[in-house]
Amino acid sequence: MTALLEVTGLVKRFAHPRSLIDRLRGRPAGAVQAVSGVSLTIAANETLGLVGESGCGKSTVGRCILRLEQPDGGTIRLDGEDISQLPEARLRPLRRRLQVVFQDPFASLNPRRSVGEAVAEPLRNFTDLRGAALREEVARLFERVGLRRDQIDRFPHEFSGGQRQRIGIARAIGPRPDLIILDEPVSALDVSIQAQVVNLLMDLQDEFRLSYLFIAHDLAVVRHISKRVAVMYLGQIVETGPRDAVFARPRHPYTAALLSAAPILDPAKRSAAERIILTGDLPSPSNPPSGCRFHTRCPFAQGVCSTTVPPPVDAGDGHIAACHFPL
Amino acid sequence: MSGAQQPLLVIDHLAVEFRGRDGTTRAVDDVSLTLHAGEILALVGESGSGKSVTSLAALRLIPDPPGKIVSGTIELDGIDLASLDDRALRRVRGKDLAMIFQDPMSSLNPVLTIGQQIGEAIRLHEGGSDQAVRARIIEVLELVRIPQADMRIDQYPHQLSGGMRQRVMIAMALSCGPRVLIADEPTTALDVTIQAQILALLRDLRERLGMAILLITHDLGVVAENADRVIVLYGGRKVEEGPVDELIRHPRHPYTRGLLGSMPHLDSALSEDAHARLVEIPGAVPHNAGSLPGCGFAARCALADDHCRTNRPPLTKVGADRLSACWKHDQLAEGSA
Repeated sequence: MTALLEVTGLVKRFAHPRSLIDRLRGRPAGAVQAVSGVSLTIAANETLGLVGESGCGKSTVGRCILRLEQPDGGTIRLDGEDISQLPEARLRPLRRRLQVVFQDPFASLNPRRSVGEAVAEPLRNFTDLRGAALREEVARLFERVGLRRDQIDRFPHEFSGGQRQRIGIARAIGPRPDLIILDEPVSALDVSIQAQVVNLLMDLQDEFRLSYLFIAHDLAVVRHISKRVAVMYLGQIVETGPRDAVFARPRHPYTAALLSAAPILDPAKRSAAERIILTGDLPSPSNPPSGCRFHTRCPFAQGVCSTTVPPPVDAGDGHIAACHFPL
Repeated sequence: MSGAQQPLLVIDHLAVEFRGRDGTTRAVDDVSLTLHAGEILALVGESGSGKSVTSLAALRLIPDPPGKIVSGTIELDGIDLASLDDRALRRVRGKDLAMIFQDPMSSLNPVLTIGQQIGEAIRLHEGGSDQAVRARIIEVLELVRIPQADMRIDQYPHQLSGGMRQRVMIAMALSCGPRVLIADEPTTALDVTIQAQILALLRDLRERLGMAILLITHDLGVVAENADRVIVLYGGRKVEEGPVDELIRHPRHPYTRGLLGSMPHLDSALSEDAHARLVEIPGAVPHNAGSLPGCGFAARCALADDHCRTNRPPLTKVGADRLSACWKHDQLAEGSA
């Protein structure tokens, strides 16, 4: 199987702004390594769920793949071609194949332009459709995502959050992309609307043979939509594998802690699970802990964990955990 | 857990309206609740359900205009809060009735140390020497399990993580030993591992201090694990009420059932079919749900008929401590879940 997308050793640093005092004293600019050697693959028509808490770097991974951020290291291969260093001028065909849906549908639509124009823009950029044919295609996309064709001349403020997210999805699928980066696409929505949007995304995936990178912090939603899952902590992937393996038998203590921290509805199933409550907060990414980055909060950490970086170990069928003492 | 004991907080037939350009909107319509000492009662609903307005009304914090409590009473320990003048009301707020909000960053003053901010309420309500106040601040910081409280007291909000800030908010709310804590989405802005810490802290404080907690949230998972009883709000109206475990296992209102069905569950059986669909609730909350003649949920309900659309369903007793506002609650009885 050749992967549609293959990311290897991705690194992205952000420089700290230097304060005046730092400059006067000649201190070097600090840097946060938001992404530290992330590797992942996505096959055609597959969904990879990327989970982690705020600040773990999951959105930065998505933005690097889209080349909205310039990666500082590693390769990003789309159908085998490394796109991580392509100059801006050669990114255009790429932009058709890689689309994105952001979390906040309010912020990603221009309030002064009709929503039909927002959906038409990528079509104008990447297809030959013009005039009536373009308008017809926009109307068809509206209907496909569950909106009405007579709504295309309205403005973003006339729509609810769920409808705006549908508009964002229509805009993303318009140019017939291969891969859509979904960055927390349902986390700003009410529960009853979340289900509508998740169902729509899954239907569209079947219909257009789309691949998804589904970035989210909500484990239940990720479990529902993903075929494979990767768990990030402080800029690194600590565990990855087929969805059922990761959720049923997590091997990294961080994955286990995340799963056990999520509230469970059914009281009968609750008492059975032993809960791991992590102590402390996420360490600063500008000064990550030595060795295993999770060792400062890990209930099972031993001496070696603070000195040696744990290598990723495959337990078979691609279920990989980077831990000295996997569960 | 409270038995026949006198309830601490009683909200009776509360209605709140907001005037806007397009006329008056009823945000809360005929909502009643009782909260006993040592109890955690959850108000659950989606945006626009009226859960936050209800809690603000309990503190008489509805901005007037444009808002107005048009009917209903709010009693704390038998005293009608509407009868109090502003001075008396200020004595109650913070002292007997305290509140924490979703976003600790916007509720904390960035230019004051956390000690100064917690100390303000203590000085106002309890007074005492500077040393006594400082000792009390450190005590409440330790109560919410902030490590190195004697160092943290002199720090500013930006020096703390999100979870620590929410602990500071809780410490501030607890500083004068309130009997009722209103927690409005206290963990929504936090990551799951931090959420688990904060919720464990709230449960622990309830145990140790016998405090009553009104927990306002949109997250049924949080409700399931933390509340004793739950009230489900939809479009400003109470649609269902009952003990948490029972209500979640056997919802007796189509909206509650829809909410539960639309959530993907971590504990559901993993299906072979990776593309199993979630149950949708079609449509969205109507803006005027609180002013409709019939059931506010009828437009989205699979069971609704003409009678539902024109006649408002009364809250009906559907079991021990169970209420449902649905004409068809019988169809949702035992066995059909």
